[in-house]
Amino acid sequence: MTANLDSNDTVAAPEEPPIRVMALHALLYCERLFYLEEVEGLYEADERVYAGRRLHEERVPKLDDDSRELRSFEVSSESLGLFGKVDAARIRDGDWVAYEHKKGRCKRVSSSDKTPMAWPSDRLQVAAYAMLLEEQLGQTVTQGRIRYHQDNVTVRVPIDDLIRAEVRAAVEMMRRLRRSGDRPPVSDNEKLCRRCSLRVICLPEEERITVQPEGARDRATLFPSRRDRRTLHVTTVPATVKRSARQLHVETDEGTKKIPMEQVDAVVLYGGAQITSQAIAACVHEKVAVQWVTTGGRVTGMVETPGRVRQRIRQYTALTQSDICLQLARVTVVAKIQFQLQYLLRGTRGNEIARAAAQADIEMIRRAVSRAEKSESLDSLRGEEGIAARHYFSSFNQLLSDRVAASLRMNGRTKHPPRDRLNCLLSYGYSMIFGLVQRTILAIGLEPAFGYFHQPRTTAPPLVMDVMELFRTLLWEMPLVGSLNRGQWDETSDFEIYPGHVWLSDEGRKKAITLFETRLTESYRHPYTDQSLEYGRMVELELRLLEKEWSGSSGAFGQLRIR
Amino acid sequence: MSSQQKWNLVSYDVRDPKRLRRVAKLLEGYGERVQYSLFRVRATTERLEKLRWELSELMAIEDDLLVIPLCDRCATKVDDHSRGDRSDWGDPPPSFEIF
Ligand code: SF4
Repeated sequence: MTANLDSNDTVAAPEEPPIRVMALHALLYCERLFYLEEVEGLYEADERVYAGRRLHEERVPKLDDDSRELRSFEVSSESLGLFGKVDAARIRDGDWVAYEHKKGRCKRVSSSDKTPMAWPSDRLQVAAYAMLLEEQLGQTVTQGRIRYHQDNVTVRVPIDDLIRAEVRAAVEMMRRLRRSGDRPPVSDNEKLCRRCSLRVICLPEEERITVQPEGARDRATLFPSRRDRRTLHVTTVPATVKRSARQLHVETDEGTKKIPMEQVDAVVLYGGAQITSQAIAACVHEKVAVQWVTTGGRVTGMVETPGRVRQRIRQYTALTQSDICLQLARVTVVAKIQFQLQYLLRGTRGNEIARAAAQADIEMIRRAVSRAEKSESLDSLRGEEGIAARHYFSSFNQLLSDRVAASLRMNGRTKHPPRDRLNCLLSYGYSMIFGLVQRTILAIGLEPAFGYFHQPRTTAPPLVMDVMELFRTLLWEMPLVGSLNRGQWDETSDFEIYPGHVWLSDEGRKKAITLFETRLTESYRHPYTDQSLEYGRMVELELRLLEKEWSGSSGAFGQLRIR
Repeated sequence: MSSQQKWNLVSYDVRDPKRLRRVAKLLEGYGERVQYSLFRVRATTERLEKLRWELSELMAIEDDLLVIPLCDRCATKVDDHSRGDRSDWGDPPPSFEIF
């Protein structure tokens, strides 16, 4: 950094690369949008962006006379600090004129005076292009013209000293924002957010909730409540996933299934399932996750695409501060123990014998929660977590109906390896949660290996371990117990029993995946945002709320509870 | 909400065999072929715009594209094809598949 940065002149310091002219639009729309897109690199092309691109491909009209014309060319200026692509420039009455094409409608002076006008951000953009053009051509450009296709109207913008100063001021503003390490606050104008292409990343409503008085959560959130793609689990051998143009082909002994790539969010390969490198490359390009899992359910790896640096730097900065880590760990552990407590209470409600048998454990867990809420160290949180887990699993059998066979009940919690069928099922489900959390962390651009609670001593990435604590009961123990009570598991055909450990059979594995995936399609009303959304979307929402904890607004993460 | 998926019929008239092949390949990445140059695509508005954009890059001025959005009610009525059963028009989109 140099002293230059604080001065008012607009001469770019060497370390300040020019900014896209398109960013002016984002800046005028919302400073936070500018920051998310241009500084953090979080672009999310949505329908409006695509619609705009389509216009450029289709409709920039050809000239019908012989006047000189330049079309769609790159211009860049160090001194202005901008670069961009001019739609067209033409000689009109002896002077160069910059042209911009817009798909939408123009602004009108007022509801009674329908004289067409340019929208403020379009006006600024065309002025910026005119100034870039000027520098490129070495000739004064005195006019910009914006064509609004939906209205079939062309608006002329005189390029005078006033608008030139506005462009320079906007560039200065963008530089200031770029130098700052903090996301600007959400826009005051909620209407903008509803049409904003980054609403899913920004989550403005979730941010506004934090300043709302309790109970005033009537606002609709902008987070999609349903998944719109599917996960492919390839569990049979032999099986190969190939790519053909824009499809994935899954080849097994039963034939080839062709799946449109746009409908897939992840490919999970179990055991010996194969995937071609063409298919992997296509998945990377289309942002489809590829993950490898052992037959036993352990996630061994996944394709990782380069992360977003700013986002990760903020994560590192936050999670190297012990007070932030303690706070997040406390929220997580309290939520986890609350789930266990609530589930034991709910699962034994109306069953006096079971409740009486579990009562002592329930009491111990209750105490662990209240101690955890006041805990001042990670070690004591680990202690409370351990105590609660011991008592929870010691009463876990009370959640099972009398009809569940003894062989499917728990005989103490055993993990590596699971020694009985129920432990085997529990571990397998946790692995699926692990896989889902890991995929989601990478998809939104965070670093799985940098967490706040678990120690980085095993091969398991700490952030994944931390966040999955929120979901164990909700996403697996509850549906699993339900399926056991409905008699859906077969003690023989669903398991493979070895001396000292138990695995799932092929059939059992498919059952477990189906149970888990079905759970993900069920809806749940989020206690904090009050939005009803699928469990399959919940992991992403919680992770985005987690990121908010260190991006300017905290308090929303980890508020999930059983209702 | 835009995250809601809707059925669309996408029909095209492409004048050049090479472009035709490319357009068909692209559509295979979004949906399923129903008839010779007719695809069905279940998509959110975002995904449909992405498709339109990609198509506009492949197609020429003399080609033609027709996208017919179907509401859920209409879609459930399209279960009678003369060839093969297509009764899944009314089903929710699958969120997973196991092989
Ligand atoms: S969602 Fe709203 S606050 Fe967030 S970037 Fe968009 S306009 Fe700004």
